[in-house]
Amino acid sequence: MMPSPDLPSDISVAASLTEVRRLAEHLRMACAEKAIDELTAFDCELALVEAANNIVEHGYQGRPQGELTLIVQISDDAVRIELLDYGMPVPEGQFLHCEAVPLDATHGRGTGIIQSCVDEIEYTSENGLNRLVMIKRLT
Amino acid sequence: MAGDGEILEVVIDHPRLDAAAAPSLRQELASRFEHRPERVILDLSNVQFIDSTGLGVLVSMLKQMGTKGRIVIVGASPAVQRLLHITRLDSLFVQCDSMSAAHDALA
Repeated sequence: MMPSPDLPSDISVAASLTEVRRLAEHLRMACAEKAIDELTAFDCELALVEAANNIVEHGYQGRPQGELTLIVQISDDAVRIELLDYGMPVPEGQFLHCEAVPLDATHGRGTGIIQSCVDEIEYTSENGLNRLVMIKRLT
Repeated sequence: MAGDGEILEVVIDHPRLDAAAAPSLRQELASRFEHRPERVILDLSNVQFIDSTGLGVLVSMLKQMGTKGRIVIVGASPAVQRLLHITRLDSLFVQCDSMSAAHDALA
């Protein structure tokens, strides 16, 4: 589905690491459609992939019956990336917490990468629905 | 992959070094690193995207090489360079523009 001006573009996939690639492709296409520059688009894709991987591996703990929904909205000012899932919620404040990771660590960089790639992060979990919104400003 | 004296050259063919590719990448690299090389050139020219899981595999390989182990990356795309910068791992993985420069860096 190609994004239309002023309308959100959404896609839902099964909660698996392979399907995360479909989310990434969807976002890349949306960014290309709006002529978002390469590095900005990469930051958005990286933040999305890190967040989606976290949901698959920890939220759904590898259970393939889960689902992930991505909603992309691109305006003149920002790329808005919204991820919805029904898995286990992340611990409160995780996306605000800044934890130093040892240089030789092989895991644990995801949250820090998301924080580096986008300008705003909002996370809510209500009635079993988890909603992560990441905003990358363009101005 | 091709050997060159004590320097091991490894070409990564995965266009995406992500969590989905990590298990096979880990397996491939483990077999190529089984002789515990101390100097490795990783050609990432074919890699268009990398995430923290893919990067974690490379860090894991570097740790397996021991304290004398050194990995030089060649052909890093802007996406790879960006992630190395964000994670400060550009201080662990030296980047070079060419194979000859990589060999010089490891000499």
